[in-house]
Amino acid sequence: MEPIAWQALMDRLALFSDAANPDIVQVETGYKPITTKPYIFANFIPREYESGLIDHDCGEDFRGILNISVCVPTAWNYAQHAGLARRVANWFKYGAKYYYNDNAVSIYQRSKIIGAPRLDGGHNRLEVQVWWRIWG
Amino acid sequence: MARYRNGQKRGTTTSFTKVVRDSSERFMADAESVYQETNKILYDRLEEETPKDTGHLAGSLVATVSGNVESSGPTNVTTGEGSGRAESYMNIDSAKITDKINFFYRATYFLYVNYGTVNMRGRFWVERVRAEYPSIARAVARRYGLKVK
Repeated sequence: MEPIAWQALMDRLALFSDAANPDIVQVETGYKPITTKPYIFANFIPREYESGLIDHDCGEDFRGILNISVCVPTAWNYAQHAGLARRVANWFKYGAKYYYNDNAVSIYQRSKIIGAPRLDGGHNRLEVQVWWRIWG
Repeated sequence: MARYRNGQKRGTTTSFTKVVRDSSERFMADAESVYQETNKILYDRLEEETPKDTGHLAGSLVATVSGNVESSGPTNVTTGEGSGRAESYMNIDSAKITDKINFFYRATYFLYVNYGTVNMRGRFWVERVRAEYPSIARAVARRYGLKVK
């Protein structure tokens, strides 16, 4: 189920459009950041989750986090940076469902910006976390 | 309501409330033990999963009560893995059920290792271990004969 969840979320992320025009990068691609251009980097964290429900043969609950690193040129100020991060977080709304091959992955918590920005190469970086679940 | 034995009035509301009070105190004590033990296991799991090169990062892991860093005293992060455990356990033992227990790494490069950098993949062990919390709590509660939803 994890690849399905990943694909559904990546399909959604690919549609993200913003005036800042960031590059959208998936983990395990050989992307070389350009210091003058923002980029968002998606990483996938499936988590072990003990389902509280009796499942028998009805499937299982899979949950995890889509970690999106929002990286902007150091010339940007924090308001601009956090603004872009918030727009990315809002792109995955609480309660929304995204589909891949008729499988729905749903967002079961509000997407959040995690922690303070930090310097990473030629960019400042903030983490956005999107909490997903899929049944299958 | 009063209880009667051999026609004589025995129990009173006082003894009834005592029973309720005693059992509720016992329940609170058990719940507190579950809370503390769960957090100790979580501490161990976090330390276990922390990537180790020198052990400095794992050794810098500290648990405090209600984010009160100073009260926990300085942790010797130079002695490597396990160095924060004694103090963290002590802090967790002092935690009441209404307290918030905070875990953090004193090593400031924690963020770079957990979330990654442009040159290094994120390891995300904090997110993975945090997901284990409900299962740990349930298992500990079962040992004490309590139920956790």
